Amino acid sequence: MTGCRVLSSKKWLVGVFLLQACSSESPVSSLSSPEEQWLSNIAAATDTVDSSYPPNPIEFSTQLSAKTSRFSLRGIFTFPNAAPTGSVDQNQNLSLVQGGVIASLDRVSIRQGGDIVEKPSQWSYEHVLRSSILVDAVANSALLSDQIVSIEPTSTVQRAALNLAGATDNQLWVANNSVSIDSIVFSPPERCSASYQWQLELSATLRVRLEFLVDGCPQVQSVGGYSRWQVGGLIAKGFLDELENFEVVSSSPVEAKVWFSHGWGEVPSVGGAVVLDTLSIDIGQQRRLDISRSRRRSGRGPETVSASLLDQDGMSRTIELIWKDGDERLAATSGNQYPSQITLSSAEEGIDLRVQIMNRAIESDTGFGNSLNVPVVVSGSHAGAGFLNYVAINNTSP
Amino acid sequence: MYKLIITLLCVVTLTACRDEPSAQSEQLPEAEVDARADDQSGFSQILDSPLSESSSVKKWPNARFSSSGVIPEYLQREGDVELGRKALLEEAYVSCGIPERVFRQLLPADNAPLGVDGRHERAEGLPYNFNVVTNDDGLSIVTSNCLTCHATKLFGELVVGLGNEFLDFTADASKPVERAGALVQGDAEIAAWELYADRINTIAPYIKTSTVGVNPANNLTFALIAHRRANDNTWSNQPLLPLPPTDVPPVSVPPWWRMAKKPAMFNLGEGRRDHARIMMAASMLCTDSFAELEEIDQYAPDIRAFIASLEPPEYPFPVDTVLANTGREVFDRTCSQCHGSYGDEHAYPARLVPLDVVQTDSTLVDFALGDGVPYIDWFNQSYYGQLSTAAPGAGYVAPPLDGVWATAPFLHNGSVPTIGMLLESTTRPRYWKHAVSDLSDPESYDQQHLGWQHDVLDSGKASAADVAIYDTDLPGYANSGHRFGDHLGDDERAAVIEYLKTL
Ligand code: HEC
Ligand code: HEC
Repeated sequence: MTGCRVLSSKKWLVGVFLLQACSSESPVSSLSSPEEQWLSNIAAATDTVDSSYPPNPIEFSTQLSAKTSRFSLRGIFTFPNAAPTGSVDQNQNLSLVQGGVIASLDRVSIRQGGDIVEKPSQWSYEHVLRSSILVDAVANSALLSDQIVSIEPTSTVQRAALNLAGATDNQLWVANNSVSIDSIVFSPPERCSASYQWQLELSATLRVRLEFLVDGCPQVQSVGGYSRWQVGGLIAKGFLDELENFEVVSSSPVEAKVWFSHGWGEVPSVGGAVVLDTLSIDIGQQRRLDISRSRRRSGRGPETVSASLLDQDGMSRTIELIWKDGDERLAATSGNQYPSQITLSSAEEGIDLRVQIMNRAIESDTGFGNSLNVPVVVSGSHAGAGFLNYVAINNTSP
Repeated sequence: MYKLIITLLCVVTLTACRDEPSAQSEQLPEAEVDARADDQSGFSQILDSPLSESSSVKKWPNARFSSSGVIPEYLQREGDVELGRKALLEEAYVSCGIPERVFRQLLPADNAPLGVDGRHERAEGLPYNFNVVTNDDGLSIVTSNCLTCHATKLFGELVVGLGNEFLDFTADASKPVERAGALVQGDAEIAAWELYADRINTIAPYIKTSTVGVNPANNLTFALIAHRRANDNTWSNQPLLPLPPTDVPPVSVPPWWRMAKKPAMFNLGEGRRDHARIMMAASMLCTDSFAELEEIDQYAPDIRAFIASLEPPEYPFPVDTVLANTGREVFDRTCSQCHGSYGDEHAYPARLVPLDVVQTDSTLVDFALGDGVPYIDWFNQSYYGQLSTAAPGAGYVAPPLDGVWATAPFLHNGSVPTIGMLLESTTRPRYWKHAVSDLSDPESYDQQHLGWQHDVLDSGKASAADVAIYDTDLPGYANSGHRFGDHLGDDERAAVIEYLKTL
């Protein structure tokens, strides 16, 4: 009766969406406030560790307590059975049923291998190699973006771009006090076919609760010990809550288009003979460009570019794209040089972008060699922002 | 010993040698040199120049050409069938590839690839079309083998020898290889990978086809020849001969079991004399010295013996034997002078049919007798030319039709989706595409017309940039000619089709 169990942890939605009938379930009316239910769900989720992993999706919870305007990463990322390395990336685009985008959240977190944590499923903040968030909010109609990079053992936190964001030891926040994402919970009971429940704290007075269903298991793709699946085109339904003193004063239905992917396992180390530069940018209209470029360390051979355009339904398709480094260089303290500007073009797709690196060249050593890991803004055919990881080629191979 | 001497004689004199002359060939008149005058019963001779001599040929003194007519048989070096199969699936005749550690990382984790039985344990878990071998640095590498093009998964089972007509060469071949380079580590892996990546990168522009399913093997070979010295087989980063066109002419992969009957390899009958040596041309990617070639030559005759021992898969659907018998009569009357006869008393005439008779797409012939002459010249003075001769003809060989039910699409360029359409030229589609992407489902077979299910389209690549569309308007892709079935009545045609199922 797994279905019933799922449902029971999502009672707050039952009455609204009539997801699955489950006769043994107590009626919705017997539940306390949505707030309380939500909290109890989180508690349940954190304790649930599915031993059938992999490829069971991760458990992922953060604390709900702080109703601050800050996005906090102090929560616990839980990975069942402590796969040595894992990543989760999620994207969702929320839109009001009446139309109008509220927010788009894109988040990539990669945990580096290392200590097996106490609880077999815990992924603590110190293990987070990279987590990035792009928030496109109606609240101030600005694109806010930030990124946190934490590398053991130094645990450096790279300040975010656009002069909007800040980060302290274990917190990442987007400024203005306008947007915060406080809590994301999903508690899948089965490997992939499951109902997922998310809650986003957009601000101290605005919150979105969502639920969506992944029906069936998407095809798993794998490289080495690392596997990943992705599913797009999902519709999530839920509520936009307006809060006052943490109390819900009004709730209106919202719908979101969601894509969802999950990866787990050992991320193979890359960069032996060929380095991969990666660039992920939000180009507006809830579309995202994911690009990687290969370059040989030897300097021989062709550079190859792979690019995919992710649309608002989470469907991605491969496109042809030309990546050109600008001539002007930034020199890092190590002496490594990086371009300060990149152009991306695709006549077929009407893309002609200038990518501007936002920070001085702050290098990070991700364990795979030195690289520039910076926020970027783009202009030209589209306006947007994103993140660049540009590898220094004169490294010795790891 | 006797056979060896004969082979040597043949090699030295470049004359046509037959192992055991067949009854039918003895009835044939002596060879005629002028193919234009060939009445279809003369021998196909190896000539010093093509019949319409062009000035460029003089520059290439080692180029040879074939007149049309009956191709004589050549003595083949003996080999061991079982050892041949083993060598095919275990040896390093392609001597560069991806480090095994990296290759295995790239295999899908959740479903095991289709393998092949009876090979060494090292190859456990590898797809059938890859061999695992040890390179000179002692590193285990995975190399692609002949089955990449010469095997197909048919109704759930791997048929070794059936040309794969569903391969996709439309993407840039260098990209996945470059990307794999991100995973290699350490000096030995980097060196092995980079050698392979450099070579793939060199040939990539010449093997990118415009259509899924057609094969670039010929162009691939020409591109490699252009980078090799004929005298010592060493590699040159700079091309030494003109490079082949990047507009890759489409070729359909012939089934291996035809080699039980064919005295010369390839569509233009150009693969004369020792077949094992010619097959070794597949080693051209990275085998850079005579010493390495000599090693491969040790087992190449075994591989040839294995290939010639293969039999076609039997037609798996019902056959109307009465109708097939009628079809046999029609076939013997209208088709067998070119395609031979089948059954207990079979005979195969190995006829190189001149272009003006068969009238199929002329691109391969035009190239072989024009811009392709330097490659023929190279071949004949290379290590390969020691035992073999490249001598393309001005036409196409009428192949044996054993197992032809399984070899769609038809003609040398794969332009005609079914035998029904081949035998009634007005029904051939100008634009079409496969309706399936593999042959796992028996439903993918059209039992009435003999071919894979396909969709006939209203327009070609000019209106839709779709690599799946076979567009017969493109150069090299024409579906013209071979109208030898047009005059048949519908009943006769249906009967011939029924008969072809039994071959
Ligand atoms: C990239 C694909 C490819 C690979 C790999 C390949 N072949 Fe082929 N092979 C072809 C094509 C295409 C033809 C037809 C060429 C033509 O006749 O124009 C062919 C023709 C042949 C023929 C002649 C068949 C006939 O009916 O004339 C033989 C024999 C053969 N190949 C053997 C081999 C062997 C042995 C190997 C491995 C050492 C090999 N091939 C590797 C594509 C390939
Ligand atoms: C004058 C000689 C000649 C006659 C007569 C002839 N063919 Fe052919 N046939 C050829 C040649 C040559 C080819 C190869 C042409 C090419 O690939 O461009 C061929 C190809 C074929 C093929 C395609 C084989 C493949 O795998 O692509 C089939 C099938 C075939 N013939 C059947 C027949 C049938 C049935 C008849 C009698 C109705 C017939 N042919 C009569 C010369 C002939």
